[in-house]
This record gives sequence, structure tokens and C-alpha cells, in this order.
Amino acid sequence: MTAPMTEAPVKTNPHVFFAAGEVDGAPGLSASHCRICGKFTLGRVPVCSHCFSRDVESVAAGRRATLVEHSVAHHPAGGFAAPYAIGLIRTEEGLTLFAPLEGSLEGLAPGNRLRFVTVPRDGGATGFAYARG
Amino acid sequence: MSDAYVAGVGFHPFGRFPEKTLKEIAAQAVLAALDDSALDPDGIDAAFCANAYAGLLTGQESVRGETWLRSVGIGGVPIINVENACAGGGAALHLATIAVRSGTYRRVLVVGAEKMFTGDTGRAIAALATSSDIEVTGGIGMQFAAVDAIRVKQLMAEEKLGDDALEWVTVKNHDNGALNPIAQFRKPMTAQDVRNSRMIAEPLRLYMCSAISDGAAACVVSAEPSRRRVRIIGSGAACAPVRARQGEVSTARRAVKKAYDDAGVGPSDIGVVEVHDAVSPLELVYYRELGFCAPGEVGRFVAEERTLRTGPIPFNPSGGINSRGHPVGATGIAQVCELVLQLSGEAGARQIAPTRRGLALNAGGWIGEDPAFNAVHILEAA
Ligand SMILES: [Zn+2]
Repeated sequence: MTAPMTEAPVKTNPHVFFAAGEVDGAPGLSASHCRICGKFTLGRVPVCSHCFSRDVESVAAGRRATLVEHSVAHHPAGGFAAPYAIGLIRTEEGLTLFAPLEGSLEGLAPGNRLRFVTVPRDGGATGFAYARG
Repeated sequence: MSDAYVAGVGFHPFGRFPEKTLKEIAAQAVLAALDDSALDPDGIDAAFCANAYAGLLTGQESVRGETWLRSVGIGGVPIINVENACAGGGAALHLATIAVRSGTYRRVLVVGAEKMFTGDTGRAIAALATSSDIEVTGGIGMQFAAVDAIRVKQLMAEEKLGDDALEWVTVKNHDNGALNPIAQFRKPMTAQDVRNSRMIAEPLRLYMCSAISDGAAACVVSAEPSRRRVRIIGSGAACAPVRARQGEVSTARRAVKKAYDDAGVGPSDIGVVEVHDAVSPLELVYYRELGFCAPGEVGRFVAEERTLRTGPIPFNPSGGINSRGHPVGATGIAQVCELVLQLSGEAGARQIAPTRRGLALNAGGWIGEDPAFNAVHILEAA
């Protein structure tokens, strides 16, 4: 009997983002929208982190963001070849997270306008990143 | 309620010891702490043991403390394993303090040990990266040097600091570490040496980053004072706030407030500080976070060199994590052991001027926008 083949991971961060077509408004970050206070919490969670309401719905978010700060790493890690940029970003919904930055390493600065993009990663997986513009 | 004293301290030196097992490294620190406390293994009522990565790096995923302590003849008592990333040591001390103050146990052994050097730096860095919510930070090239670099850049912008401030604190702590017999790096360096070392994550250079270390530290927390009479007067801990609802008060500010309140003292009552400089410039963050200088004053604090070993408020007289080394489970305990030696005038060549109270902050992991856990201890010499 042949063991079933393990499928290659489809997404690098299945809990963090939706690829195109997965939900309305995708691609974008996975977030929970509160039907009571209207605010957003990162990821699919059972409770709104702003008001403790349990009336939350899973949505795509973070299509636009602002760069808070970044660093260029000169040592490879987690399958990323150095040098690469990692950013602390804040989305238009107020979600704050670390994310890979796609594009030139030159001219990155706090306040840069960013947009959500999906990018191919090792092993045929789809990853996410933020790009300027 | 009983008082909690640190009766004795012990170390295994920090560095790279490929010929030794984690168990052997832990045992050496435990035996030194028992000797220093004038106790034999039967004198211990309970033990809290801190380690972060043995499961990933050696395969010993559980009952770590039981394996270490059996090798020195300790058995039959409660042995509790504590994991809180790089703050497991501080968390174990917090629990030991509570256990002794409650009157439940009279003499509690606290030991932190880590064996991170496997010959493969990449494995150790990958293990460190698990000290965050891996669902969120996996697959994004997350590494702690970059996270710390972003924190340092934010501080530099807020406090108008240049690279010279980052170099200064690195040189200061290596000067201290050069005098510490357990330190991994015992060689002073110049600002030029720091500036010439290779870039790791901008603006952090190699000599600003802690290395991969093996090592252990242990102490006995006791209801009775030893010959040193050093008492734990404050013990506070906090995890990362949920900023959406809990605002801008950081993990460190929460933990240190609890410790100050527990001790009934404030920053002006403290004479020596050990902080968690996983990269040396993070020490500058804590000048503000612990209340030693106001926002906007960090540059002046550095220019006046207030935190030199010979200055009015020495920070990291041990050399800090940056030069002492960072076997992560041991770090929080090593910080408190350093305070005990300094407060009792037994710190040898790195001894600071006499002072009564010291504070240690141990940080671990990353969750959301903050370190995942901080533990703060305040010690006082009679
Ligand atoms: Zn809500």
C-alpha cells in the first residue's frame, strides 16, 4: 500500500493571510471584524480584543498599510536570503505586525505607504509581503 | 508571610562547551549554589528549573529539571520546570520567591541552564525564533536581531541618538565583561572595533549582538538569611499587553511597577541594575522603561556616562548578556546572582562602590508589539 503523499504547503502563513479567491476581499491579512464596535483584531479569534464581544466575523483586511519602522537583515533566516527587509507595519484598520517588505531596500522609511502583495516562496508556497506604492 | 533571601549563588561559566552535556552544565551550577549556601542536596525543599530550547536542540522535551537534579542526588521533592523563552530564569525566581514567602517551602533551589551551541548557529537562531507566536511570525523571515533592530531604530528616532551611543554602550559592557570570570567574552573592545564588525540587522553590528552560549546559573531562595543577608524585596512579572485595550504601557513598565510596588521603593532607591541587553543597545531602552531617565533624556544620560561601573548608577556590571553570554534559561538567574555578589562586596575586579539595592530585568520572547514576558527582581542588602 502506498502512503498518501504529503502535499506541499500552499501558503507560508495559513493563519495570517488569505490568498486571492479564498474569501471576499482577498488577498489580504486574516482578521476578525467586530460587529459590535466595528474594530479589527489580527487573525481568526473568538473575542474582539477591543471590547470582548464574541460577535466577530472572519474577514480579509490590511490591503493598505503604513511602514512604522524597518530593518535590513544581513543574515539569512527562515528561508529568506540576505539581505532582506523586515518591517513593523500598521494597516489601515490599525493592525500592527511584522511583515516582509518586497522591492528595493533603498529609500525605505517610516511613513512609507504600503500595499499587500502575495509572492512566490520556497517549495512552491505562496507567501505575503508589503510593497511600496 | 516569610521573607525570601538569596542564601547562595553558583554558576557554570558561559561560553561554548561542546564536550559537556546540558545535565553536566546544570549540575556544576547547582553544586556551586549548594556549597555557597552550606547545604547538601537533602536541604532543598523544592526546585524551579528554567530552560527554553532543550526540546528542540537536544531532544529532552520534558522532565528536564528532574534529569539535571537527579545527577546531583536531589529527588523526592517537587521539581517544577519553567519555560518562558529567555525569561524562564526570571519566571522561576518569581515562583520561588512566592513559594518561600507563602511559607510552603523554606529552601527552594532555582536553576537555569541552556545548551545552545550545537555547531550549527542556524539551528539555534531557528529555535530562538520559536519564542513568538509562530502562526504569526513563521514564514516571514522573522529573526530576533531584526526585531531588536527595529526597537533600537525607534528609540534612536525618539531620543535623537546616533550610532555613537550604540557603540558606547557596547564598549562599556565589554569592559565590564572582561572582568567577569564567567563571561563568554573577556576582551575589551574599542568603538572602532564595534563599528568595523559586520552588519547583522541595521543598525546592529556583530559585536552588539549576544552570541550562542552554553551555561548555567543557580541560587537558593531561603526563608532564612545566609551570611550575606541579601533579601528579595521586590518581585514582579508581566506578559505583553493586549494593546488594543490596554494601551501603550509596555511589558517592562508593567513588570517594573509591580516590583517597585512590592518593594516599596522607586528608581532613586536603586544603586545597581542588570538588564536584558540581548543586543547591547537595548540597555538604552531600559534607562527610560525602568524610570531612571525621562523621555528625551537618554542622550544626556549616555553623554554623562552615568551607567559606567564607576558611575552613579551602574548598569550591567557583569558585562550584561552582550558580553557575559546568553544561555537563555540561565540569564535571569545569572542577573540576580550578579546583584547578590555586588551587594555583598564579592564581585572581585568588577566590584562597584558600596550600595544597598539592586534591580534585575529579564525579558523573553515576543508577542504582538512587546516582549512576551518580563520578570523584575529587587534585592536589598541588610
Ligand atoms: Zn469589538
